Amino acid sequence: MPAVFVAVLFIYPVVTLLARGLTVDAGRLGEVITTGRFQRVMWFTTWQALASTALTAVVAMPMTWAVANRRFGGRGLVRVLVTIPFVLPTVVVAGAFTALVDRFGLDSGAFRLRHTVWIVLLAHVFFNVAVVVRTVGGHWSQLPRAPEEAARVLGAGQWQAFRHATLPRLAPAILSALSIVFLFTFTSFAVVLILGGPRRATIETEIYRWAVTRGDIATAAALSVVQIAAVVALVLANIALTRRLASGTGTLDDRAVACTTGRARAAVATAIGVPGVLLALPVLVLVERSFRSGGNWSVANYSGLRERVRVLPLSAVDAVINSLLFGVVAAAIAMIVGGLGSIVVVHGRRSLSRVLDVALLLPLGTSAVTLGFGILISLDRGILDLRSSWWIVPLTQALIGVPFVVRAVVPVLRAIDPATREAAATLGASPMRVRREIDLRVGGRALVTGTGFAFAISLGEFGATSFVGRDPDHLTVPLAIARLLGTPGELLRGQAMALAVILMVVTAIVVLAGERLQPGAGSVL
Amino acid sequence: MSTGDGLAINEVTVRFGDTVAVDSVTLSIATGSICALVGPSGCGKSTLLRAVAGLVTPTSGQIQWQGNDLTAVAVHRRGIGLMFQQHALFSHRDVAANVGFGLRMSGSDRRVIDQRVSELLAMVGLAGFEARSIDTLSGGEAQRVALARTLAPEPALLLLDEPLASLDRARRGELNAELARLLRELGQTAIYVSHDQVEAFAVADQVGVMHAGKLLRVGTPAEVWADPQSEVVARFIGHETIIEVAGCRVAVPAKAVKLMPRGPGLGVGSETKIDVVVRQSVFAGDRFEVQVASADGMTYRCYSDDDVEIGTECLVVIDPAACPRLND
Repeated sequence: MPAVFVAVLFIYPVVTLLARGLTVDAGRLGEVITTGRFQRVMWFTTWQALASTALTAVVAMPMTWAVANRRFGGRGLVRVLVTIPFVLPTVVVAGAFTALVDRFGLDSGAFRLRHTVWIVLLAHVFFNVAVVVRTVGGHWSQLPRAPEEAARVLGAGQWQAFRHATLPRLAPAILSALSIVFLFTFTSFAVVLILGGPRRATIETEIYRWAVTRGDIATAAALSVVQIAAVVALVLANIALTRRLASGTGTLDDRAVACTTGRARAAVATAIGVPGVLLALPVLVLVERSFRSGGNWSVANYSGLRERVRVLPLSAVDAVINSLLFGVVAAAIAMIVGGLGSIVVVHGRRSLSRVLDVALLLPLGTSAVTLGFGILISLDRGILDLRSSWWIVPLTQALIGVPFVVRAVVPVLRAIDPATREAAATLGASPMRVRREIDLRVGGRALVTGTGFAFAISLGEFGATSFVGRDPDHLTVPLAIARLLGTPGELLRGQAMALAVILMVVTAIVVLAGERLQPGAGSVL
Repeated sequence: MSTGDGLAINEVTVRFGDTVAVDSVTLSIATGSICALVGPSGCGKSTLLRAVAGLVTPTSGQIQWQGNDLTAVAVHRRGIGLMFQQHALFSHRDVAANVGFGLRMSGSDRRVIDQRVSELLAMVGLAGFEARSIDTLSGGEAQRVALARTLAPEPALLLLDEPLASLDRARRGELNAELARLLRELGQTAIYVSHDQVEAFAVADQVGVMHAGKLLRVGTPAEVWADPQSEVVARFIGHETIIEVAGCRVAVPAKAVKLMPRGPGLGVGSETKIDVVVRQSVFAGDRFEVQVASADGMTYRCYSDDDVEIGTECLVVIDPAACPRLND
């Protein structure tokens, strides 16, 4: 059943999209890729992703060093807080950076940020610092100190010891993290669409504009072929890099040492504080802005959410209800599909489990826009004609949530000693009973955590939903925020910020609760 | 082949791909008796045990209990208890839930379970441990909880797979004696798998020695010691000296060796009279345990009433009648 779910909602749409782009509209593909516009889009997509990745590394590495190497009060808290930006819905981040621009008057003049590439890069850094701090930091903190100490004893300075004894061992983790950041920024959609302005286009926003704004399916399909090829290449590269990572050896000892001198404390404070401001400022400004109305402090932006504004088909409160409903249904579907899928991955026949292992994680590496577009153009026949159905939204969002459930549950199930299952069987538990008494009991928390993540993903999902949730009655909170942000006007902007704050708070609570329930499950992020 | 009483393992073979883990083993165990299966690690004893439990399906052969074929019966319906090497306790549940698990599976009443759990914990010396979490138990305590959990559903047959393997050496002797006493009191039919022949001999009515998938020798501990039949079995159960006497290989136990001073004219040497040099003499209470070596490097153990100095040249006289013959 999990395989059927993935096949219908993922493989079939993507194959349809590929078939369409390569056969029916094959001529279009040839035309599209030779245009100057396409080449500019590809160039921009690539270099902004490279620049975002490089900038993320520069901002994140000092913080990573501090978290991995120094013991200080609030170290655990820093690790958790740094994750929050990463799990925030993209429209919330777009809203926060819009608020930042408004607050400090950065929409013109020498420090103009509005609709520049700089704001796109900053938002990407904001998102992805967590990827580096968690992936690289996790490795670094378990790296044995002995080789560096040996280098120091042999006469290497602090920098030389880092360069020759630490960096080579850390390199696979850094490469793996940066390749993920590159993938994320390469396929970034909402940030570019909302913050980049009408003139900046990555391949993601380009697919969206051709398909939705201009209704030119053939061109959008041709662009999707290019996007799918690029993403597959990037995912394969990441898998290759991650494999090298797994073969590395680590100790379970924490290598961090206490700060003994004032200088050491100052170094840690700087390494944490400077990026900390970058991460905290947009969020704080967003919250502040949501409580400002007509130049005064007020809750008008929140109370106004009950009334329908002219740019939205429904009131914002209705959008919240829609989102919660979609979220609950999507999370339930993701829980069932991901839970059953995890059991097959862990217990199924070798060949089947390996196929499913990959299949269930595929949606994680695919761009949401490709997914949404593919579902939109493929599920149009017979019983699969779900395009105008209410179910298409939660089903699509569940598909994106399934990998999070699987990645939370599978490691926990794999860690169960097979002898405990055998012990249960010899004590009279039938095979079904063993699943219930051992697998479900032990994996239950991880399942709840993964389902919580799926719920959070569904609440904040924008890329795919902007394709499949086009029915006005199905308006979700992220779509409403994007619509409000895209329309000028003090009142609308204020409401956008209030909605974004609500979405941010709900998402953060769900994710932090999950992280508490099953520490380590958040590493799926 | 006996039918009806106890466990009957009939020409059971277990293959994993090309490797034969258990090779046509036939063994019967009477109700109420304890059989120890010994052999070096990898000899197939644990696999045979798992086949009896139903965790491994034999490639061929039958396993019967009280005359009924078990081959087609699923693990959880066999009513056979298995105590695992590393205990395999459910660490996500407390001690009481672990011990009561089997009773819960059979649908026993909650109060019945609680009472039985308390009785069992008292029996293994862990009264009051009900609410303890598994992670807080010491190795010995975990072993007792595992035993209580296995005994709780009153299995007709109890299988113990190296139950002491995870304990440190010092505790093993003590716990082994306790285990043996408990099993005897309960009149439990059991198979006890171990790679330590001393442990096995202390517990068992009957010992089976396995090697490379085959069951080479079955008998009471005394029978197997007195007549190991093959060199592999002899060596495994502790015969260190094996020599050739009158064209036949024999194991030489210490009591068949007599230490004598090397008088003039006596030092001729023959198959049963051998020139040796004393290597070691250890005081063992009422006597000395002496180890001597012959010129060809063979060592012999023997007893002496008096201490002998290391390096002394002596003679050993071997009594062939007291040496088990090996037919290899």
